[in-house]
Amino acid sequence: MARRTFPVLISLYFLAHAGFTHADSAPTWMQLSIPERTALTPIAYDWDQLPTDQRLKLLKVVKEFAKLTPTQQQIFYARLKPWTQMTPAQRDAARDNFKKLQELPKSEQSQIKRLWSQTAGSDPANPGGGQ
Amino acid sequence: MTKEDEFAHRLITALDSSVRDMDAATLQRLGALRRQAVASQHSLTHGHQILSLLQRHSLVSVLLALFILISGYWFVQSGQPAYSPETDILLLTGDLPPNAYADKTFSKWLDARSPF
Repeated sequence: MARRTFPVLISLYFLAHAGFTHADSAPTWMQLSIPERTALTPIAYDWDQLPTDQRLKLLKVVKEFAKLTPTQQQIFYARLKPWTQMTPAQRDAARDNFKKLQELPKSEQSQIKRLWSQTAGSDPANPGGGQ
Repeated sequence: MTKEDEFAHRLITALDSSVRDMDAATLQRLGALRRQAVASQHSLTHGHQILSLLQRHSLVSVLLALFILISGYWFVQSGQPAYSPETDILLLTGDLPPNAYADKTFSKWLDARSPF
């Protein structure tokens, strides 16, 4: 009976392993679709070196790229590479602070954005800053 | 009776007479050690019983392995916070660059004004 059980268990292990690996794998640059490559052009040379988790998140983000206005697409292009170069902790902090800012009244949001633009300099992708 | 049998008989007799000569404390200690050894052997037998049960019932083994795999996968997945691409899109196209939101000074201003 053990002779029958062992192959079944081995097959099950490889099946599960293949399933989990597939769920955790991200496509290489060559495997991306044309619209995905278009959206990710600024990080074309870095894509294959990015962590799997980061690539999977970016693939969800770029699904929205086509819906952006040309101006927003330009800003997206300018910010994409610096965004991928931030540490995961910095990206998480940015997301948390972004959500916190959204919870404030509009007047306070504008005040903070103006304050940051004045003290920290201008964003090369958006010289208008918080305006 | 062979030579080996004769030797064994003499050995048993000698050991039995030695046991009779032992004091009560030593006998008690030996008895306790024996009970301990038998008890550990008994628990080993229980382990073997589970293994032999799994070997005999392949379906039980497969279901058990499947249950362990699914539980492990569920445990790993449930530990990860939900990801929202909308926030990232807004960060990458909004008024301020993402590094502004990650800035410590920015966090301080935010915490000073946040109602929470």
